[in-house]
Amino acid sequence: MPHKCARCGRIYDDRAPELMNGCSCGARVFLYLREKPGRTREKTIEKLKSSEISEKDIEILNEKFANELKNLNKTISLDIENLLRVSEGKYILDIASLMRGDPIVIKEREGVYYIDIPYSMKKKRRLEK
Amino acid sequence: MPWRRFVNWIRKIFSRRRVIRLGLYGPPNAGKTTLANKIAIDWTGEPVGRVSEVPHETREVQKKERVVVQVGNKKLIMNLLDMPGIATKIDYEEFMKYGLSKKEAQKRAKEATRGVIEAIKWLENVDTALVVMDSTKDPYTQVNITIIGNLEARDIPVIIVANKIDLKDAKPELIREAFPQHPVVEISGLTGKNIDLLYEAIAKYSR
Repeated sequence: MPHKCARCGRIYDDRAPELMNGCSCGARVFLYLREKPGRTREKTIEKLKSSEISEKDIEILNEKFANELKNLNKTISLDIENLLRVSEGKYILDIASLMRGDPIVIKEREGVYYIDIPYSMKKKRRLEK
Repeated sequence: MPWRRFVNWIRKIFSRRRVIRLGLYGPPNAGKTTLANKIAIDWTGEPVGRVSEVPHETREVQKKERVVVQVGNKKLIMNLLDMPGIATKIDYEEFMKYGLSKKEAQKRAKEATRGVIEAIKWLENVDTALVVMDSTKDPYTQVNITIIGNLEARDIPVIIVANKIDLKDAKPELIREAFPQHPVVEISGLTGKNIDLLYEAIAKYSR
């Protein structure tokens, strides 16, 4: 689902780097609408465009989350992989992607990926027992 | 054999009391196993799993089936599902601070990673979720927000447990503020404080 910069109104897609690093206008606050059945991307953008928050609120939110954003470990969104093995015993997980039920894609090192294709198909049967 | 069919029919009627599959989710070291143990020991006399100050002690889903809890005049039958802690980053060096050898720590990290995936897979098998959070920590984390958002999308009832209120710097009100759309129960899994309120919430909100 798309996100809208609360200050300049620019629309960004899910996982856009600007969501983590801040919009090109400098704001770090984005409006977001939760995914709902029947709500298309176009409808979401329309709705986002009509919703506004005041400059004062943006300031408050910016201040509240500015410290948090410095520690990027807290907000992890990976590229196509959702499980990154940094080294022996060090892992980074994209839990949002895993929870969506995406197949597990493991990035072993630059350019080497493992994809667990049967995972999403197997999942249901295995859990039903 | 009509008699056997009749007996089965009677059995079916009496066993209709539904079992709630209650999943305990949350970040590592939030006190999920301590809480699960508290519930299980109170009502069955046996614990669910081992507790440790080293994060990711629970690395496999721990189950305790048919825990019968009396809430007022109502009986709740629950299958407790204690999940491994969900994290976005698992680093063996963190475990070494607790005295684990490098090899042990690396093994633990691998099992913990597998545990996170396992916990996520089990979301499909949960009727009601307790999202356990440490009241001394900031609730605005990606893990908490993602878990709750996902449970909402799956239409699974969420009860937020603001745990560890026995600690001096606990701020359960921050959790209430962060997730106003869900019931929040402030408890201490360790001392059992307010645990009755949790049972009442489970009886009220679970489906």
